[in-house]
Amino acid sequence: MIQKKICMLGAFSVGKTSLIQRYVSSIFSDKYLTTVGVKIDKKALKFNGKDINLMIWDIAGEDDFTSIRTAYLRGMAGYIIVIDGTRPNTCDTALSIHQMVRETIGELPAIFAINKADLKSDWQLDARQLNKLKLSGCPILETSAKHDLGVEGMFLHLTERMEVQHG
Amino acid sequence: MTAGTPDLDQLRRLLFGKDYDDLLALKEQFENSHQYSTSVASIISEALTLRSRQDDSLSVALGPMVEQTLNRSIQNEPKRIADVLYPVMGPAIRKSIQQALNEALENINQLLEQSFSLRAWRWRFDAWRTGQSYARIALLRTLVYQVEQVFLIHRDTGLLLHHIVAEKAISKDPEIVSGMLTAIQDFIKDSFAVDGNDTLDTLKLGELTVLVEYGPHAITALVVRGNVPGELHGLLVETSETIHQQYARKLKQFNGDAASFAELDPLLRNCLKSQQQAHKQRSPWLAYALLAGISGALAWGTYQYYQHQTQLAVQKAASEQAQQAAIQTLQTQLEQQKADTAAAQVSLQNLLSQQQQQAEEQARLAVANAQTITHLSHAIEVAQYPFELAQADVDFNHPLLAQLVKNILALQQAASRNNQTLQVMIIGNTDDSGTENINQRLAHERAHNMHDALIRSGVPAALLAAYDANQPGLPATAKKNERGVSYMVRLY
Repeated sequence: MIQKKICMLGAFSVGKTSLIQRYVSSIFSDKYLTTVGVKIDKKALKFNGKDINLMIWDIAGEDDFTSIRTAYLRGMAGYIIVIDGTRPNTCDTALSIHQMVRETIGELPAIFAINKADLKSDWQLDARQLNKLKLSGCPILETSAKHDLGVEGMFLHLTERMEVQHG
Repeated sequence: MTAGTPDLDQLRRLLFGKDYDDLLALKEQFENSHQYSTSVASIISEALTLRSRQDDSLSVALGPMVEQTLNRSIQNEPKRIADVLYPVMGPAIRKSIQQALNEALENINQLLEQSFSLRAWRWRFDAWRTGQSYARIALLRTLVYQVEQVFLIHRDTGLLLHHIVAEKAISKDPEIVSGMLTAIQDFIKDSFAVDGNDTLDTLKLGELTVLVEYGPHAITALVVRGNVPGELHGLLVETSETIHQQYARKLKQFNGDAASFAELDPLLRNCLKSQQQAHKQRSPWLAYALLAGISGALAWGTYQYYQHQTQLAVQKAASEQAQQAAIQTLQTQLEQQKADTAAAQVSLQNLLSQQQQQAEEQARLAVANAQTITHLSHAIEVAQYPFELAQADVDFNHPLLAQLVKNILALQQAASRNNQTLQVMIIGNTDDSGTENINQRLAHERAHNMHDALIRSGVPAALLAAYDANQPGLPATAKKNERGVSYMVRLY
């Protein structure tokens, strides 16, 4: 049994919690997120014949008034940064978070998830932003928590990247 | 190495000098198995010790051999192994059995206690009310404290390294809890800007306390229900220190695989302390009261019974006594009656004899009386009072008269005794001298005078009757030629 701590990061109201709820059945209510700033869930999965427990830390979204408590990031094996495709500024926030993590924690497997794929027609991300994301070297996945699109794949992809890194 | 030619050997000696001999000696040592064994024997223990310090390969290599040897030894001579193990196995088995027995006893005791006490029923009610199991309620109510869970958490990642949960305690997903524990720690630190070295070491919620000890690489946390005793902190710190001493490297290199930390199980399990509420030896008043009540009732019943019995006995005795008394009375009466009868018989006999005697007496008396009567009648009838010639006077003082009176009275008594009435006829007589008339008058006077004289002398008049000799109806024998009166005694 291997345990991995991963963090869900991203701007306020991009759908981090909804994505996790799609993936796990939680024992804690969402109110933890707003009180303590973090909520932890567990997902047990099998990868390459290995039992893996993903400890998913859902970390309260960052906006102009609150910043991520970096202490929560300590010890994570990888992270997912969620972007709301309909709000371009969430992409900027994502990039700044990515930068912050690299500076404070170090290089770790990461994934950018552009959420609300069900509203893809309303997406307002421009080519420049997408380019910046691509330049980060991290995989960019499209997800929809509402329609359960690409959610499990996203977590598996991160797991794979973490496994590759640690061997 | 071949011997070679003497020249070559010479050359070698020239080249190596004295070392060549040493080399040869060394060679000899390796080739001669005895010498080699001797040299290895001198260092083998040290070598083994050194190697065992480096890694586990020695135990891996020796393990199968030791097992095989033991196996063979047991097969060959089991008794020997048994003898060797005896001092170890005996006490171990005894201890184990004793412990099992003690536990069984304790369980039965608790079961009994929980089945019948008022407290247990209250707990059952609580369990029913709160929807929790009875065992849990009982545990919560009787514990002073109990360490319910032990967490060993990797400090950096917040990942769970090992977790132990006590029996009957409820544990939610420990992996998530351990994450939250570290998160909360970070949250507190960030929120209240405490000194970097300070850590959250106690969380308290109601009767639940979480003791947290932060080591450099791992967090050890105890979830305690109840009143946390001071020594638990000490135990927690000691445990954390021990873990860091033994596992510092593993903790540092932790990459998510917690399998190797399972070895810490005994150490962490040692933290699962608990203390039951000292069973207060309260006097079981209720039971005592019940017992006293029963005893009282019994005693009262017995007392009543004996009282009743005694009463019955007394009554019986009294009735028996009464009966006996009655019997005795009856007997006495009977005896009395017997005696009476006897007496009556005696008296009857007496009476009979008396009567007989009386009869005899009477007969005798009658005979005597009759004799007296005859005698007296005769005496009266022959009595002669000598009247003077032609005279009819009676001298009251004459001894004959007195004698006559006396006889008449005696006869009267005798006659009355004989139930006879006496009548004495006084018949006046005259001699032939004188005339008829004169004689008749004289006879009459004489009779009457005598009659009067006798009355005067005390003879009752009713006994006397005076007649003339010539009076008709008189027997001829009454008439006598004499100067006097004659008497005729008649008894009716």
